Amino acid sequence: MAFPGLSLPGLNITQSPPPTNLTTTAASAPPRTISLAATSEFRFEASHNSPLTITLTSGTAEIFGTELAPSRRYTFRGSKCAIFTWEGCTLTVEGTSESEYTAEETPMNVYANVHFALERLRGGVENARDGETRPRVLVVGPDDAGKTSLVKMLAGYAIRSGRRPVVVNLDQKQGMLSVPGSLSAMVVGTGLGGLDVEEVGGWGNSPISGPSAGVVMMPVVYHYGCEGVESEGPRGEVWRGLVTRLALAVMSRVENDEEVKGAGCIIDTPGFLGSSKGTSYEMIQHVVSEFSVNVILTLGSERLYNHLTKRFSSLGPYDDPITILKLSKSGGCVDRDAAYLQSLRHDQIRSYFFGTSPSATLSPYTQLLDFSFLSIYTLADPTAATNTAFLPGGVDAETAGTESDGALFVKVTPSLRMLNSLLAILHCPKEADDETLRQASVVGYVYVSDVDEAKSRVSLLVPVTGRVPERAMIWGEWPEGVADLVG
Amino acid sequence: MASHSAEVAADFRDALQDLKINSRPEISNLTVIAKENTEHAQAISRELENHIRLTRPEWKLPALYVLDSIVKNVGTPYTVYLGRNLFRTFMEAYTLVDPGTRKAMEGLLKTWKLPVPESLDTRPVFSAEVTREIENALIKFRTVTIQHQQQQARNQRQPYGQLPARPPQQPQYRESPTPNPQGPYGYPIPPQKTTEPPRSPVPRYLSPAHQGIPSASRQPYLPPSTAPPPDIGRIKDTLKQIILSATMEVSQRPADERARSLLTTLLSLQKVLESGSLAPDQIRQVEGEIQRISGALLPRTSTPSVPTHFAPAPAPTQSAPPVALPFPFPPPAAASSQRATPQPSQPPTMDLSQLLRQFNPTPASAPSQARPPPQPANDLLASLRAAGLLGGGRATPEPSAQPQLQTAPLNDVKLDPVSLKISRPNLIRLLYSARPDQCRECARRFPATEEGKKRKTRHLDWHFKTNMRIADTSKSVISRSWYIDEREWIDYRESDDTSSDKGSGSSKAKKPDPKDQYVPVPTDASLANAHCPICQEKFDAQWHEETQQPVWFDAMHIGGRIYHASCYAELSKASGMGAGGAGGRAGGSNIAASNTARSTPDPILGKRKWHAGAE
Repeated sequence: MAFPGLSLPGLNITQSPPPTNLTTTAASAPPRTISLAATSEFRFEASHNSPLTITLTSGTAEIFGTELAPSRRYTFRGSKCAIFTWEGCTLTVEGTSESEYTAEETPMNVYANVHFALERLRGGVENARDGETRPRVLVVGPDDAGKTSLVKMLAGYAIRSGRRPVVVNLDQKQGMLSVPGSLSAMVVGTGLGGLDVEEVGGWGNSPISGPSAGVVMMPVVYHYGCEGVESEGPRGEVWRGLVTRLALAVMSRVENDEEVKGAGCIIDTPGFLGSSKGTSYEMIQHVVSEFSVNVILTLGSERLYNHLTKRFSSLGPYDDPITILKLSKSGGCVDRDAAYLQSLRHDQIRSYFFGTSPSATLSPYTQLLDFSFLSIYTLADPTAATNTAFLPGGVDAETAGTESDGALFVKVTPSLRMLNSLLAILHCPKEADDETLRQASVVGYVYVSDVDEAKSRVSLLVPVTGRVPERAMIWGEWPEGVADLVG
Repeated sequence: MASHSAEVAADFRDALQDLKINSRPEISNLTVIAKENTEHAQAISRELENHIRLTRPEWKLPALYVLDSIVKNVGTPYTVYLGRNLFRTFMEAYTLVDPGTRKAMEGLLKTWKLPVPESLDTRPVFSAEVTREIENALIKFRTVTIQHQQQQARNQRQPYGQLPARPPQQPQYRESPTPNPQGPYGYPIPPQKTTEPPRSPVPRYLSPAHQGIPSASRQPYLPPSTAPPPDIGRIKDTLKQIILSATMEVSQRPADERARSLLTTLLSLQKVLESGSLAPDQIRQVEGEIQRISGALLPRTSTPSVPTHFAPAPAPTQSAPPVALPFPFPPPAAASSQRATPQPSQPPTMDLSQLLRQFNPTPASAPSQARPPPQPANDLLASLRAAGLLGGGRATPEPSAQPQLQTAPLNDVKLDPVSLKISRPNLIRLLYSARPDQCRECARRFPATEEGKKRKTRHLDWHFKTNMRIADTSKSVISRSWYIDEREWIDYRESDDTSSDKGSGSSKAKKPDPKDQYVPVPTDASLANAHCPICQEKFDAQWHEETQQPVWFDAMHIGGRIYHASCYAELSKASGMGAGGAGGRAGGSNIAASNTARSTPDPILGKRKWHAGAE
């Protein structure tokens, strides 16, 4: 493990290597022109190593609801995307892709109509009554059914219709304006005419300390830190708590912000909720009641649709009837393999610390901190509690022994096991109880680049200069460590 | 396999048995079953056909809706299986149901001739042969009904055959143009005294011998009336009225060639209609034309019904006033093309399509002007206006009507599966050409209005400033900001660069002086929740567009702490502390300076401003 030493602002010693090989691959593949007929789309998969550059040369086109600017070079790396055109267009494509083809059969007509139907709920005089009928849309479906893409489309169209809905990401597997393992919400529709299609994740950026030409949005972030979601057990408790908390924040925002109020919210969910397995319906129920969802869009699963129709058709206590719709999955959805998802996660983490677009290269700092400065909690694992003795410098024996019986979180001292993983800094004091910890929003993330157990010192990669906030931190079991982030 | 098939079919049958009303969830449920069991399509189709045949007349329509839903949402192989017996299934049900249901069934049939909405497949739901067969039968059926009624009126209680009162197993259209595999059904043909050749026998099962069927279903046969068949009669009536008003037009303006030619066309059309030699789809075509003409022509004396279609939308905003339209709502473009294109059919006594074309004074060969949205009534309005039938000044001039339709098309999309499938290019245009003024840098669009222009200018300014600032700060160090707390997020308001001029709008700071000062929100989380030491209140975080960072307005660093600038100004005044001194000390606040050294120099600018303002 290389020791990065003290903070070296601006040196960017950790800048990722691609620049050298990307020029060669881009040069090797000649630019090609692709003509798209009206209502067809160009689907491509750009690899993580060599970018694909696409320019809209004529006509109009959009990526997941966000319109492309004419004659601007868009660079895609590690993304699986589709450029759709309503009116026909020509594209110039440079670079090599892992796969690319043109498809004519798309569900875009229905997706766009969903947007217009939501627009009717948003606008209109007849719905002015206290915003009660504002669309609060939940998108559910199994993995790789195109949920996030649909959410982006609905958000993109809403922005282009002059709306500013809240977009909520409950999918811990991919972050939105944050790292994987987090849940977040943001108001879209400021400044630029859509989302940032080039950014890792395809949303945009959370604020940085300088100017940015891209799409910048202010998220509120909560840390979940587990790979899977479940309804029971400590993870389930944390997940439910976070959903409740996030819903509270979103609802308060929606209530108070006139501009947001009318537009409602759009909620993305993890694939597990759409898997029709185990407790997934309970979890959908939880989200529906917390966010007062009134439109559920099910993607690519008849079974899910039927179950939800049954479940919500006879709901008494809700004044708002819930409209449940079944949408077909786009033929462009691809099953993303584990390796791809992992590199996507790593890209997101890297982009949180270092930025992605060439115009906004970010400079994180490395700080050496004493063990005593840090107050790190982790989710108590009832099964592992008995094994604490085997963990190298693991769980604080005292706390674990006395509190872990009922406690959700246990305090841990830094150990080598934390190497390369992320710590979430919470908006709550260092010493906090379970209730506070599980509900606090996130200040930011730091990356553990080294742990010196002998000297009781940790080396952290911190996105922001200055002292590391004296706050409670959560060490999650997920996302997995990124070995090559630093050095 | 076979047993499994039977099982699925039995399940399906059970579900069908419960279907007694037009209930969308149940119908979609059945559709889902059908969709998930396409390998048993044959069994399911048979089940459905049997059910439609055997169930009580008032439950037939929901079952037909199931059929409709399956063929439209699942398609093959159901279209194949159900298409084979569709004629039988449809006609048998048709003969037994009440007039209201018949209307609904005719509506269904109409949609079967069109492609499935949304689908790219342009073929109709059922092939033209299947639907035409049914249509021909329907025409005959109506004729027969009328004749039957007339005859019934003549010989009031004439005894009919003594066949048992049960639903017929075979349809009885002996003379139907398509070969009827079942062959003729032997029953006495009552002699007809009408001018019609005796080719349309009265089917036996139309007789009042249907004792078991509720009276509602017998309704059409009960009151003997001399009224002509509904559609042709109505067409003729309308045509008469049109001819009347056209004649008046001609008599008022004898010199008007066009009105005269229209009148001749109308008269010859009447002749064709009277001869009764038209195929059903031709009649429909004629009907369409006549409705369009009558819509434009007749209202001149009453309320203008066609122009309400173009009801002036005063504010062409992004969202059109939602109007609930009856379901199903046919796409206007499809409807118009259906009507406008002469359909190939058996040659009638006159070339109907040519006749219809005469309604449009422009030569038929000349390509019609490229109009963005094909509006059904427009062609006719234009031609009628050209023909002088519509007063020039009275109707909305076309040029003004067109843009209105473009900017505020009707958003009629409902959150139901059928409505979502209809293609609506007009609404898509809202996302594109309705706001033609596009930013070249980020593709954001602005409406082509004064306000839109202003907004775009501000937007471009923002791009320019941001790019300048990026160039300026290219050497300085930029880092990710901390996320804000949930409470701050709830109160946080993003400002839109184009919404208004700086200072007003979302920011509450109105006074130009101390409130204009700002401090970037401290990156240190402990400081980020700091209170103003004077008023003990928290600072409001807002997004600062110029520096692209969250800031606290009305705040300043003094000696390492952050104060509300206004509080501090008041305090300095009260205590007689010189502003210069404060400024000096502020300049010496090294902690603050070091804390923000990495960021833009704006905070210092802010201080200077305050300094100057205070002196």
